[in-house]
Amino acid sequence: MIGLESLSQLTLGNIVMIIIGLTLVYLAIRHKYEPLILLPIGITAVLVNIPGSGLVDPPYGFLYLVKKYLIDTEIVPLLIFLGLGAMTDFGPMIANPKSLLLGAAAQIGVFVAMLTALLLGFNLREAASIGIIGGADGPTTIYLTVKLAPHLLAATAVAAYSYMSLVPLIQPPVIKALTTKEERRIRMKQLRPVSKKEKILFPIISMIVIGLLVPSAAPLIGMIMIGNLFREAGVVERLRKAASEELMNIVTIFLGLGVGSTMRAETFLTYKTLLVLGLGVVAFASATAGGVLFAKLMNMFSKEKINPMIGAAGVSAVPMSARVVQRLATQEDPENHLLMHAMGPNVAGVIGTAVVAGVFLSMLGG
Amino acid sequence: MDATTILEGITITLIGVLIVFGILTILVAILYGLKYIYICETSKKEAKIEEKEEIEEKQARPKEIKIMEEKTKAQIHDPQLISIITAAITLFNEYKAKKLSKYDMFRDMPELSRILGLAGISFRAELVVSLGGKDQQVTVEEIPGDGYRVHIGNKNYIAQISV
Repeated sequence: MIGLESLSQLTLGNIVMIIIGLTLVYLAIRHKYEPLILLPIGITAVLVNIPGSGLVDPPYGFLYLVKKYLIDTEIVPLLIFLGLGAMTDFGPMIANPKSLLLGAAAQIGVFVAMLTALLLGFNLREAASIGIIGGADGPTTIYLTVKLAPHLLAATAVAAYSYMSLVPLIQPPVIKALTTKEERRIRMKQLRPVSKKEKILFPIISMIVIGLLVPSAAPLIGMIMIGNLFREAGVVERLRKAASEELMNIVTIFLGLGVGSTMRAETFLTYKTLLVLGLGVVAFASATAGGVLFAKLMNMFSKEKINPMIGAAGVSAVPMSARVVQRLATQEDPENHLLMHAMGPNVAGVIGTAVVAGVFLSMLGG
Repeated sequence: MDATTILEGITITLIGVLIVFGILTILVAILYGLKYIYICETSKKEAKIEEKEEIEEKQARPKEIKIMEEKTKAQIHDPQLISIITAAITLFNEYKAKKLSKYDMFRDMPELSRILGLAGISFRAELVVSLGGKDQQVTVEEIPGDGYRVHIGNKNYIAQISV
């Protein structure tokens, strides 16, 4: 197919998708909105909407093969989790175990979004895939959507990554609405140091415990914990580096290409996509609210007060939501540094979202 | 929108929330367990360090000086007198070190000065100790292996240094 023939097949939908793709590219380059993932997704979206390229055509189209063998088989999301584990320091969470509960509380947003999606007419599997956007964890969203509602993959992935980059805009109004100035000024005790032994034992124990209790969450939790063990063991520096750098970069490229390849006009331009994007905001906002309100609840029963803003970091989006908390804290009190305290719920949120994904998979079938 | 689906959704929500909180609470308990191990280890380490410090402190503990009047053997408790005697002994040691430093042998190996005592050679110095603007004539003399004899006014005092 050459020249005018290709041009004649260009639909209005293709043009809209090309504009959407270019917008993502613009946001990634100009505003640095999750550039590592939105740039490849955006430019691939442009590419797959050029008629006649054959890139997404079975059985040998390049992007078709990428999606079929790397995304649909879950290889890429799981390898990303391996890399995330190798990059994550669970130290702040180990130092303050209560922060795990804040990571659990933020998952309330997932269920709120899921129920809202059900009310809007989505079926259970679709609603679960939409709800998981509230976990603010791209790989988990992709992992779950591929299994439960693959036709929504592009919409949920774009929503998850776009809103992750919009965390600094979505979270502050919710946090401010739910907390008083005094609460935002609460200072927290410095975290205790965490021993190497604790950091090594944590991934091993949590992998076994979660794997036994929610086996369907084992792939995600297992990968993140294996990656984390690479990091903390201190004896496999090459593997840690490979998982967190080279491998992570490679799978991120494939993830971008794979997700971008699903953004064809005929599958993406539906009213459902708009609803998914709208529900994504609901998911993020309610997850933030869940974390903050639970932190306030904890303060009612605890002698040692915590700054309720750190609950907002339970929305995993590592480390953006923790940075948002830090920024808001220093706005109220320039000497109140909450970054490390917020990192606890932040990484706990990753575990929480993976567990929720496991629950959805076991209850709705993968 | 189907009521059964909504009900199913609510059920999943309840079970999901319960499982997430349940599992993460178990992890919290595990983390507190790890914290307990850490505290035990830290306190063991601290105890070891304290023990080590105590030994070092014992070794580095200053020598005790017992001062008594030579005739009556009565121990001296007058702080002013103790200060004068202590200052006098310090000055005496400085004077002795200066004298000995003239000889290469003692300068290179100060511990050799002990053999002087064994040989019955002892030092004696007449010093002036000034305390609170008042000068005091003091004579300090070594008693080989038994400390110092300090003469102030018409009295002799013995300063014995014990470990």
